[in-house]
Amino acid sequence: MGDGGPSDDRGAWVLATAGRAVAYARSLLRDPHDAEDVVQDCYCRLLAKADVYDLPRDGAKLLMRSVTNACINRRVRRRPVFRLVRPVADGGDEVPDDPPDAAARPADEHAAGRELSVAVAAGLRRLPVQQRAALELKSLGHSQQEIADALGVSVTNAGVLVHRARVALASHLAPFLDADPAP
Amino acid sequence: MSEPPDHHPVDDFVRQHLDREAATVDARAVLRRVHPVPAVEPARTRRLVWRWAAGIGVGAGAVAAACLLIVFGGGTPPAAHAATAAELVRDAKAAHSDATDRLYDVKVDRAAPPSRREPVPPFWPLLRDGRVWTRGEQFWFDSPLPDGRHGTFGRDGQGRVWVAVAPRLGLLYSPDETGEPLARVCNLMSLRGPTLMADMLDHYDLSREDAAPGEPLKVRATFRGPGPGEFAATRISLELDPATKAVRKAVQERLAGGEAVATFTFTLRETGRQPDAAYELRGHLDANARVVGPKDLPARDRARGEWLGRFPAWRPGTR
Repeated sequence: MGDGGPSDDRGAWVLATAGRAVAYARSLLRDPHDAEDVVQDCYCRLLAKADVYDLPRDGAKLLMRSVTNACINRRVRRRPVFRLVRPVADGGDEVPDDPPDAAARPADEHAAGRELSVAVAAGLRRLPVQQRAALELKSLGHSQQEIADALGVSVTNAGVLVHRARVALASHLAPFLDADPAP
Repeated sequence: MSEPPDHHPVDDFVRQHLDREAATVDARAVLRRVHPVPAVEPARTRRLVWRWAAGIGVGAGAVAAACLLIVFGGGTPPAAHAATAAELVRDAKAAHSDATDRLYDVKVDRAAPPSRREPVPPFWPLLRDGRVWTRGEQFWFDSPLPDGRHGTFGRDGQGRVWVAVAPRLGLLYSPDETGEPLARVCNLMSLRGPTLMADMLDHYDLSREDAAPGEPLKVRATFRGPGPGEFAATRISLELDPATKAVRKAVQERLAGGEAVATFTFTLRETGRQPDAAYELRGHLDANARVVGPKDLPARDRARGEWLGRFPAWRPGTR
Protein backbone atom coordinates (compact mmCIF):
# COMPACT_ATOMS: atom_id res chain seq x y z
CA MET A 1 0.00 0.00 0.00
CA GLY A 2 2.97 2.17 -0.47
CA ASP A 3 1.18 4.67 -2.65
CA GLY A 4 -1.87 4.84 -0.52
CA GLY A 5 -3.93 2.81 -2.96
CA PRO A 6 -6.71 0.53 -1.89
CA SER A 7 -5.71 -2.65 -0.18
CA ASP A 8 -9.27 -3.91 -0.02
CA ASP A 9 -12.87 -2.98 -0.67
CA ARG A 10 -12.82 -0.35 2.02
CA GLY A 11 -9.91 1.42 0.44
CA ALA A 12 -11.72 1.30 -2.87
CA TRP A 13 -14.78 2.75 -1.20
CA VAL A 14 -12.72 5.64 0.16
CA LEU A 15 -11.29 6.30 -3.29
CA ALA A 16 -14.74 6.24 -4.86
CA THR A 17 -16.32 8.65 -2.41
CA ALA A 18 -13.50 10.96 -1.36
CA GLY A 19 -13.83 13.46 -4.19
CA ARG A 20 -17.43 14.30 -3.54
CA ALA A 21 -17.01 14.29 0.24
CA VAL A 22 -14.06 16.68 0.16
CA ALA A 23 -15.75 18.93 -2.40
CA TYR A 24 -18.82 19.12 -0.19
CA ALA A 25 -16.77 19.78 2.94
CA ARG A 26 -14.82 22.50 1.15
CA SER A 27 -18.04 24.15 0.17
CA LEU A 28 -19.30 24.16 3.73
CA LEU A 29 -16.06 25.12 5.43
CA ARG A 30 -14.29 27.11 2.73
CA ASP A 31 -10.97 25.99 4.16
CA PRO A 32 -9.45 23.12 2.21
CA HIS A 33 -7.27 21.97 5.09
CA ASP A 34 -10.14 21.94 7.55
CA ALA A 35 -12.25 20.17 4.96
CA GLU A 36 -9.70 17.42 4.54
CA ASP A 37 -9.37 17.09 8.31
CA VAL A 38 -13.11 16.71 8.68
CA VAL A 39 -13.42 14.18 5.90
CA GLN A 40 -10.52 12.19 7.25
CA ASP A 41 -12.10 12.06 10.67
CA CYS A 42 -15.45 11.03 9.23
CA TYR A 43 -13.88 8.23 7.22
CA CYS A 44 -12.13 6.99 10.31
CA ARG A 45 -15.33 6.92 12.30
CA LEU A 46 -17.20 5.03 9.61
CA LEU A 47 -14.40 2.61 8.86
CA ALA A 48 -14.08 1.76 12.52
CA LYS A 49 -17.68 0.56 12.34
CA ALA A 50 -17.36 -1.07 8.97
CA ASP A 51 -18.50 -4.35 10.41
CA VAL A 52 -21.75 -2.69 11.50
CA TYR A 53 -22.51 -0.68 8.38
CA ASP A 54 -23.00 -1.86 4.84
CA LEU A 55 -20.60 0.65 3.37
CA PRO A 56 -21.02 -0.25 -0.30
CA ARG A 57 -24.78 0.28 0.08
CA ASP A 58 -25.14 3.00 2.73
CA GLY A 59 -21.63 4.37 3.10
CA ALA A 60 -21.96 7.39 0.83
CA LYS A 61 -25.04 8.67 2.59
CA LEU A 62 -23.63 7.97 6.02
CA LEU A 63 -20.46 9.75 5.02
CA MET A 64 -22.26 12.84 3.78
CA ARG A 65 -24.36 12.95 6.92
CA SER A 66 -21.26 12.68 9.05
CA VAL A 67 -19.45 15.35 7.03
CA THR A 68 -22.45 17.67 7.30
CA ASN A 69 -22.54 17.32 11.04
CA ALA A 70 -18.83 17.78 11.47
CA CYS A 71 -18.66 20.83 9.21
CA ILE A 72 -21.58 22.59 10.85
CA ASN A 73 -20.18 21.78 14.25
CA ARG A 74 -16.88 23.27 13.26
CA ARG A 75 -18.21 26.41 11.64
CA VAL A 76 -21.31 27.24 13.62
CA ARG A 77 -21.50 25.54 16.94
CA ARG A 78 -17.90 25.81 18.03
CA ARG A 79 -16.14 29.07 18.66
CA PRO A 80 -12.54 29.08 19.75
CA VAL A 81 -11.97 30.42 23.24
CA PHE A 82 -8.41 31.35 22.68
CA ARG A 83 -6.12 31.71 19.77
CA LEU A 84 -2.55 32.80 19.92
CA VAL A 85 -3.40 35.32 17.27
CA ARG A 86 -6.84 36.81 17.31
CA PRO A 87 -8.59 36.92 13.96
CA VAL A 88 -9.35 40.39 12.71
CA ALA A 89 -13.03 39.65 12.66
CA ASP A 90 -15.16 36.62 13.23
CA GLY A 91 -17.43 36.89 10.26
CA GLY A 92 -18.84 33.42 10.64
CA ASP A 93 -19.89 31.60 7.57
CA GLU A 94 -22.73 33.75 6.41
CA VAL A 95 -20.88 36.73 5.08
CA PRO A 96 -23.20 37.86 2.34
CA ASP A 97 -20.76 39.81 0.27
CA ASP A 98 -17.72 37.65 0.67
CA PRO A 99 -15.83 38.06 -2.58
CA PRO A 100 -14.68 35.02 -4.47
CA ASP A 101 -11.06 34.17 -4.14
CA ALA A 102 -9.72 35.79 -7.26
CA ALA A 103 -6.33 34.19 -6.85
CA ALA A 104 -7.93 30.78 -7.11
CA ARG A 105 -9.56 31.51 -10.43
CA PRO A 106 -7.98 29.85 -13.41
CA ALA A 107 -7.12 31.86 -16.48
CA ASP A 108 -10.00 30.48 -18.48
CA GLU A 109 -12.68 31.38 -16.00
CA HIS A 110 -14.57 33.34 -18.60
CA ALA A 111 -15.20 30.23 -20.57
CA ALA A 112 -18.87 29.59 -20.31
CA GLY A 113 -18.77 26.48 -18.18
CA ARG A 114 -16.19 27.88 -15.85
CA GLU A 115 -18.02 31.15 -15.56
CA LEU A 116 -21.12 29.32 -14.53
CA SER A 117 -19.19 27.28 -12.00
CA VAL A 118 -17.70 30.43 -10.54
CA ALA A 119 -21.14 31.99 -10.35
CA VAL A 120 -22.56 28.89 -8.67
CA ALA A 121 -19.72 28.87 -6.17
CA ALA A 122 -20.26 32.55 -5.43
CA GLY A 123 -23.99 32.02 -5.06
CA LEU A 124 -23.49 29.11 -2.71
CA ARG A 125 -21.12 31.14 -0.59
CA ARG A 126 -23.85 33.69 -0.04
CA LEU A 127 -26.11 31.09 1.50
CA PRO A 128 -26.19 30.36 5.21
CA VAL A 129 -24.35 27.14 5.82
CA GLN A 130 -27.48 25.11 6.59
CA GLN A 131 -29.18 26.21 3.38
CA ARG A 132 -26.01 25.49 1.45
CA ALA A 133 -25.76 22.02 2.94
CA ALA A 134 -29.44 21.31 2.32
CA LEU A 135 -29.28 22.36 -1.32
CA GLU A 136 -26.06 20.50 -2.02
CA LEU A 137 -27.37 17.33 -0.45
CA LYS A 138 -30.57 17.70 -2.44
CA SER A 139 -28.64 18.14 -5.64
CA LEU A 140 -26.70 14.98 -4.83
CA GLY A 141 -29.90 13.00 -4.61
CA HIS A 142 -30.53 12.88 -0.89
CA SER A 143 -34.13 12.66 0.22
CA GLN A 144 -35.83 15.24 2.40
CA GLN A 145 -35.66 12.83 5.33
CA GLU A 146 -31.95 12.26 4.82
CA ILE A 147 -31.32 15.99 4.67
CA ALA A 148 -33.31 16.46 7.85
CA ASP A 149 -31.31 13.72 9.56
CA ALA A 150 -28.01 15.18 8.41
CA LEU A 151 -28.85 18.68 9.59
CA GLY A 152 -30.64 17.69 12.74
CA VAL A 153 -33.83 19.49 11.77
CA SER A 154 -37.37 18.40 11.06
CA VAL A 155 -38.35 17.22 7.63
CA THR A 156 -40.46 20.36 7.25
CA ASN A 157 -37.53 22.59 8.11
CA ALA A 158 -35.32 20.68 5.71
CA GLY A 159 -37.84 21.52 3.00
CA VAL A 160 -37.79 25.16 4.01
CA LEU A 161 -34.01 25.22 3.84
CA VAL A 162 -33.96 23.64 0.39
CA HIS A 163 -36.66 25.99 -0.86
CA ARG A 164 -34.96 29.14 0.42
CA ALA A 165 -31.61 28.05 -0.92
CA ARG A 166 -33.08 27.36 -4.35
CA VAL A 167 -34.82 30.73 -4.46
CA ALA A 168 -31.71 32.62 -3.39
CA LEU A 169 -29.41 30.76 -5.75
CA ALA A 170 -31.83 31.03 -8.63
CA SER A 171 -31.90 34.77 -8.11
CA HIS A 172 -28.12 34.87 -8.18
CA LEU A 173 -27.99 32.71 -11.29
CA ALA A 174 -30.86 34.41 -13.09
CA PRO A 175 -28.80 35.31 -16.17
CA PHE A 176 -27.78 31.69 -16.63
CA LEU A 177 -31.22 30.32 -15.93
CA ASP A 178 -32.79 32.71 -18.42
CA ALA A 179 -30.23 31.93 -21.07
CA ASP A 180 -29.98 28.23 -20.62
CA PRO A 181 -32.76 26.48 -18.79
CA ALA A 182 -31.47 23.49 -16.99
CA PRO A 183 -31.82 20.24 -18.86
CA MET B 1 -44.70 24.25 4.40
CA SER B 2 -45.23 21.50 1.86
CA GLU B 3 -42.28 19.59 0.52
CA PRO B 4 -40.54 21.46 -2.27
CA PRO B 5 -40.63 19.96 -5.74
CA ASP B 6 -38.22 17.12 -6.22
CA HIS B 7 -36.26 18.93 -8.84
CA HIS B 8 -35.35 22.51 -9.56
CA PRO B 9 -33.13 23.91 -12.32
CA VAL B 10 -30.48 25.13 -9.88
CA ASP B 11 -30.02 21.60 -8.55
CA ASP B 12 -28.27 20.63 -11.77
CA PHE B 13 -25.97 23.63 -11.55
CA VAL B 14 -25.07 22.77 -7.99
CA ARG B 15 -24.42 19.14 -8.79
CA GLN B 16 -22.26 20.03 -11.77
CA HIS B 17 -20.34 22.46 -9.61
CA LEU B 18 -19.74 19.80 -6.96
CA ASP B 19 -18.70 17.30 -9.60
CA ARG B 20 -16.15 19.76 -10.97
CA GLU B 21 -14.81 20.37 -7.50
CA ALA B 22 -14.71 16.64 -6.79
CA ALA B 23 -12.62 16.12 -9.89
CA THR B 24 -9.92 18.33 -8.38
CA VAL B 25 -9.63 16.18 -5.25
CA ASP B 26 -6.74 13.75 -4.96
CA ALA B 27 -8.64 10.78 -3.57
CA ARG B 28 -5.44 8.83 -3.01
CA ALA B 29 -4.12 11.62 -0.84
CA VAL B 30 -7.31 11.41 1.20
CA LEU B 31 -6.81 7.69 1.57
CA ARG B 32 -3.23 8.23 2.65
CA ARG B 33 -4.45 10.66 5.26
CA VAL B 34 -6.36 7.93 6.99
CA HIS B 35 -3.73 8.22 9.55
CA PRO B 36 -0.78 6.11 10.66
CA VAL B 37 -1.27 4.06 13.80
CA PRO B 38 0.31 5.59 16.89
CA ALA B 39 2.60 2.62 17.45
CA VAL B 40 5.59 4.69 18.50
CA GLU B 41 3.85 6.81 21.10
CA PRO B 42 4.39 5.61 24.61
CA ALA B 43 2.00 3.43 26.53
CA ARG B 44 -0.28 2.34 23.74
CA THR B 45 -0.27 -0.99 22.00
CA ARG B 46 -2.11 -2.17 18.95
CA ARG B 47 -3.94 -4.62 21.14
CA LEU B 48 -5.27 -1.68 23.09
CA VAL B 49 -6.21 0.12 19.95
CA TRP B 50 -8.21 -2.84 18.77
CA ARG B 51 -9.94 -3.06 22.11
CA TRP B 52 -10.92 0.58 21.84
CA ALA B 53 -12.15 0.05 18.34
CA ALA B 54 -14.32 -2.75 19.60
CA GLY B 55 -16.45 -0.08 21.12
CA ILE B 56 -15.58 0.20 24.79
CA GLY B 57 -15.36 3.88 25.55
CA VAL B 58 -14.30 4.41 22.02
CA GLY B 59 -13.13 7.88 21.08
CA ALA B 60 -12.11 9.46 17.89
CA GLY B 61 -8.43 8.85 18.58
CA ALA B 62 -8.97 5.17 18.88
CA VAL B 63 -11.17 5.29 15.84
CA ALA B 64 -8.49 7.03 13.87
CA ALA B 65 -5.97 4.45 14.94
CA ALA B 66 -8.30 1.60 14.27
CA CYS B 67 -9.22 2.71 10.81
CA LEU B 68 -5.59 2.70 9.86
CA LEU B 69 -5.41 -0.92 10.85
CA ILE B 70 -8.57 -1.63 8.95
CA VAL B 71 -7.55 0.05 5.77
CA PHE B 72 -3.83 -0.41 5.76
CA GLY B 73 -3.46 -3.64 7.65
CA GLY B 74 -0.83 -2.12 9.90
CA GLY B 75 1.52 -1.16 7.12
CA THR B 76 4.43 1.15 7.67
CA PRO B 77 3.64 4.85 7.55
CA PRO B 78 4.71 6.81 4.49
CA ALA B 79 8.16 8.33 4.65
CA ALA B 80 8.01 11.70 6.32
CA HIS B 81 11.46 12.94 5.48
CA ALA B 82 10.29 14.44 2.18
CA ALA B 83 7.39 16.37 3.71
CA THR B 84 7.55 20.12 3.93
CA ALA B 85 7.30 21.91 7.26
CA ALA B 86 3.74 22.96 6.48
CA GLU B 87 2.78 19.40 5.60
CA LEU B 88 4.21 18.18 8.87
CA VAL B 89 2.29 20.81 10.80
CA ARG B 90 -0.90 19.83 9.00
CA ASP B 91 -0.22 16.21 9.88
CA ALA B 92 0.40 17.20 13.48
CA LYS B 93 -2.85 19.14 13.50
CA ALA B 94 -4.67 16.06 12.28
CA ALA B 95 -2.93 13.88 14.85
CA HIS B 96 -4.03 16.22 17.64
CA SER B 97 -7.57 16.58 16.36
CA ASP B 98 -8.65 13.15 17.46
CA ALA B 99 -9.62 11.96 20.92
CA THR B 100 -6.24 10.64 21.94
CA ASP B 101 -5.26 11.57 25.49
CA ARG B 102 -1.68 12.72 25.90
CA LEU B 103 0.12 13.75 29.06
CA TYR B 104 2.80 16.42 28.82
CA ASP B 105 5.25 17.69 31.38
CA VAL B 106 5.10 21.46 31.37
CA LYS B 107 8.20 23.45 32.20
CA VAL B 108 8.08 27.24 32.42
CA ASP B 109 11.32 29.18 32.22
CA ARG B 110 10.52 32.67 33.35
CA ALA B 111 13.93 34.03 32.60
CA ALA B 112 12.86 37.42 31.38
CA PRO B 113 10.55 39.38 33.67
CA PRO B 114 8.03 41.79 32.27
CA SER B 115 8.90 45.46 32.14
CA ARG B 116 9.68 46.88 35.56
CA ARG B 117 7.53 49.83 34.61
CA GLU B 118 4.53 47.56 34.80
CA PRO B 119 3.24 45.88 37.92
CA VAL B 120 3.59 42.13 37.79
CA PRO B 121 0.26 40.90 36.44
CA PRO B 122 -1.79 39.20 39.13
CA PHE B 123 -2.01 36.00 37.14
CA TRP B 124 1.71 35.56 36.66
CA PRO B 125 2.03 33.10 39.58
CA LEU B 126 -0.04 30.69 37.50
CA LEU B 127 2.84 30.32 35.07
CA ARG B 128 4.51 27.38 36.74
CA ASP B 129 5.65 23.86 36.09
CA GLY B 130 3.07 21.13 36.05
CA ARG B 131 1.50 18.46 33.93
CA VAL B 132 -1.23 18.78 31.39
CA TRP B 133 -3.45 16.13 29.84
CA THR B 134 -4.68 17.04 26.39
CA ARG B 135 -7.38 15.67 24.12
CA GLY B 136 -7.79 17.84 21.05
CA GLU B 137 -8.85 21.24 22.31
CA GLN B 138 -9.60 19.92 25.78
CA PHE B 139 -7.04 19.88 28.54
CA TRP B 140 -6.62 19.77 32.25
CA PHE B 141 -3.57 21.07 34.03
CA ASP B 142 -2.33 20.22 37.47
CA SER B 143 0.47 21.73 39.49
CA PRO B 144 1.25 20.87 43.12
CA LEU B 145 1.37 23.89 45.40
CA PRO B 146 3.62 24.45 48.42
CA ASP B 147 0.70 24.10 50.81
CA GLY B 148 0.05 20.57 49.61
CA ARG B 149 -2.94 21.51 47.55
CA HIS B 150 -3.06 21.60 43.78
CA GLY B 151 -3.66 24.21 41.16
CA THR B 152 -6.03 22.46 38.80
CA PHE B 153 -7.80 23.96 35.84
CA GLY B 154 -8.84 22.95 32.36
CA ARG B 155 -10.98 23.39 29.30
CA ASP B 156 -13.93 21.12 28.63
CA GLY B 157 -15.48 19.86 25.43
CA GLN B 158 -17.82 22.84 25.27
CA GLY B 159 -14.93 25.28 25.27
CA ARG B 160 -15.44 26.39 28.86
CA VAL B 161 -12.42 27.11 30.98
CA TRP B 162 -12.77 25.96 34.55
CA VAL B 163 -10.86 26.14 37.82
CA ALA B 164 -11.20 23.64 40.64
CA VAL B 165 -10.71 25.97 43.60
CA ALA B 166 -11.59 23.33 46.18
CA PRO B 167 -13.49 20.04 46.20
CA ARG B 168 -16.65 22.02 46.92
CA LEU B 169 -16.07 25.09 44.78
CA GLY B 170 -15.37 25.57 41.09
CA LEU B 171 -15.15 28.50 38.71
CA LEU B 172 -16.48 28.41 35.19
CA TYR B 173 -15.73 30.72 32.26
CA SER B 174 -18.02 30.51 29.27
CA PRO B 175 -16.64 30.23 25.74
CA ASP B 176 -17.54 33.86 24.98
CA GLU B 177 -15.36 35.16 27.81
CA THR B 178 -12.34 35.08 25.55
CA GLY B 179 -10.76 38.18 27.01
CA GLU B 180 -11.01 37.18 30.63
CA PRO B 181 -7.42 37.21 31.86
CA LEU B 182 -7.61 34.09 33.97
CA ALA B 183 -9.17 32.11 31.15
CA ARG B 184 -6.45 33.33 28.80
CA VAL B 185 -3.67 32.35 31.19
CA CYS B 186 -5.23 28.95 31.79
CA ASN B 187 -5.29 28.38 28.03
CA LEU B 188 -1.72 29.54 27.85
CA MET B 189 -0.64 26.71 30.13
CA SER B 190 -2.11 24.10 27.83
CA LEU B 191 -1.05 22.53 24.59
CA ARG B 192 -4.12 22.89 22.40
CA GLY B 193 -2.78 21.14 19.36
CA PRO B 194 -5.37 22.01 16.70
CA THR B 195 -5.37 25.71 17.59
CA LEU B 196 -1.60 25.86 17.86
CA MET B 197 -1.07 24.16 14.50
CA ALA B 198 -3.72 26.29 12.80
CA ASP B 199 -2.04 29.43 14.04
CA MET B 200 1.34 28.15 12.93
CA LEU B 201 0.01 27.53 9.44
CA ASP B 202 -1.66 30.92 9.25
CA HIS B 203 0.74 33.28 10.97
CA TYR B 204 4.21 31.78 11.11
CA ASP B 205 7.12 31.21 8.78
CA LEU B 206 7.85 27.51 8.93
CA SER B 207 11.05 25.59 8.38
CA ARG B 208 12.23 22.13 9.23
CA GLU B 209 15.45 20.48 10.18
CA ASP B 210 16.82 17.29 8.76
CA ALA B 211 16.21 14.25 10.89
CA ALA B 212 17.66 10.77 10.73
CA PRO B 213 15.21 7.92 10.18
CA GLY B 214 13.38 7.18 13.39
CA GLU B 215 14.35 10.47 14.95
CA PRO B 216 11.73 13.12 15.79
CA LEU B 217 10.82 15.43 12.95
CA LYS B 218 11.65 19.01 13.83
CA VAL B 219 9.73 22.07 12.72
CA ARG B 220 10.54 25.63 13.62
CA ALA B 221 8.11 28.51 13.38
CA THR B 222 8.75 32.24 13.58
CA PHE B 223 5.87 34.62 14.01
CA ARG B 224 5.61 36.85 10.96
CA GLY B 225 3.14 39.43 12.17
CA PRO B 226 1.20 41.58 11.89
CA GLY B 227 2.45 42.00 15.44
CA PRO B 228 2.14 39.61 18.32
CA GLY B 229 -0.76 40.10 20.62
CA GLU B 230 -0.73 39.40 24.30
CA PHE B 231 0.98 36.12 25.08
CA ALA B 232 1.81 35.51 21.43
CA ALA B 233 4.56 33.01 20.82
CA THR B 234 7.30 34.59 18.77
CA ARG B 235 9.05 31.30 18.16
CA ILE B 236 7.80 27.76 18.32
CA SER B 237 9.71 24.58 17.80
CA LEU B 238 8.07 21.20 17.52
CA GLU B 239 9.46 17.71 17.65
CA LEU B 240 7.02 15.32 16.06
CA ASP B 241 6.79 11.58 16.33
CA PRO B 242 7.92 10.32 12.92
CA ALA B 243 5.14 7.74 12.76
CA THR B 244 2.14 9.51 14.26
CA LYS B 245 3.14 13.17 13.80
CA ALA B 246 1.99 13.81 17.36
CA VAL B 247 3.96 16.39 19.30
CA ARG B 248 6.68 14.84 21.40
CA LYS B 249 8.06 18.18 22.44
CA ALA B 250 6.94 21.76 21.92
CA VAL B 251 8.85 24.85 22.93
CA GLN B 252 7.10 28.21 22.80
CA GLU B 253 8.77 31.52 23.48
CA ARG B 254 6.10 33.98 24.43
CA LEU B 255 5.74 37.72 24.71
CA ALA B 256 3.49 39.98 26.71
CA GLY B 257 3.39 43.70 26.21
CA GLY B 258 6.08 43.34 23.59
CA GLU B 259 8.56 41.79 26.02
CA ALA B 260 9.68 38.22 26.44
CA VAL B 261 7.90 36.59 29.33
CA ALA B 262 8.72 32.94 29.44
CA THR B 263 9.59 29.85 27.49
CA PHE B 264 7.10 27.01 27.80
CA THR B 265 8.31 23.50 27.14
CA PHE B 266 5.85 20.66 26.74
CA THR B 267 7.34 17.18 26.74
CA LEU B 268 5.25 14.11 25.99
CA ARG B 269 5.25 11.82 28.97
CA GLU B 270 2.70 9.25 27.97
CA THR B 271 -0.24 8.49 25.76
CA GLY B 272 -3.02 6.97 27.77
CA ARG B 273 -6.65 7.10 28.51
CA GLN B 274 -8.44 9.69 30.61
CA PRO B 275 -12.11 9.54 31.54
CA ASP B 276 -14.20 12.20 29.84
CA ALA B 277 -14.94 13.70 33.26
CA ALA B 278 -11.26 14.50 33.76
CA TYR B 279 -11.65 17.34 31.28
CA GLU B 280 -14.74 18.67 32.99
CA LEU B 281 -15.06 20.68 36.15
CA ARG B 282 -17.42 18.16 37.70
CA GLY B 283 -14.71 15.55 37.47
CA HIS B 284 -12.67 17.48 40.03
CA LEU B 285 -15.41 18.46 42.45
CA ASP B 286 -17.60 16.79 45.02
CA ALA B 287 -21.09 15.95 43.90
CA ASN B 288 -22.66 18.80 45.86
CA ALA B 289 -20.02 21.38 45.01
CA ARG B 290 -20.89 24.96 44.13
CA VAL B 291 -19.96 26.16 40.66
CA VAL B 292 -19.68 29.91 40.13
CA GLY B 293 -20.03 31.11 36.57
CA PRO B 294 -20.48 34.35 34.65
CA LYS B 295 -23.88 34.97 36.18
CA ASP B 296 -22.29 35.74 39.53
CA LEU B 297 -19.23 37.77 38.68
CA PRO B 298 -18.59 39.24 42.16
CA ALA B 299 -18.57 35.81 43.76
CA ARG B 300 -16.43 34.41 40.99
CA ASP B 301 -13.92 37.24 41.27
CA ARG B 302 -13.69 36.75 45.04
CA ALA B 303 -13.11 33.03 44.68
CA ARG B 304 -10.56 33.66 41.95
CA GLY B 305 -8.62 36.00 44.24
CA GLU B 306 -8.63 33.43 46.99
CA TRP B 307 -7.41 30.75 44.64
CA LEU B 308 -4.63 32.88 43.16
CA GLY B 309 -3.46 33.68 46.67
CA ARG B 310 -2.36 30.09 47.08
CA PHE B 311 0.23 30.36 44.36
CA PRO B 312 3.69 31.48 45.40
CA ALA B 313 4.39 35.05 44.34
CA TRP B 314 6.53 35.29 41.27
CA ARG B 315 9.86 36.90 41.70
CA PRO B 316 11.85 37.61 38.57
CA GLY B 317 14.50 35.01 37.98
CA THR B 318 12.89 32.38 40.19
CA ARG B 319 11.15 29.23 39.09
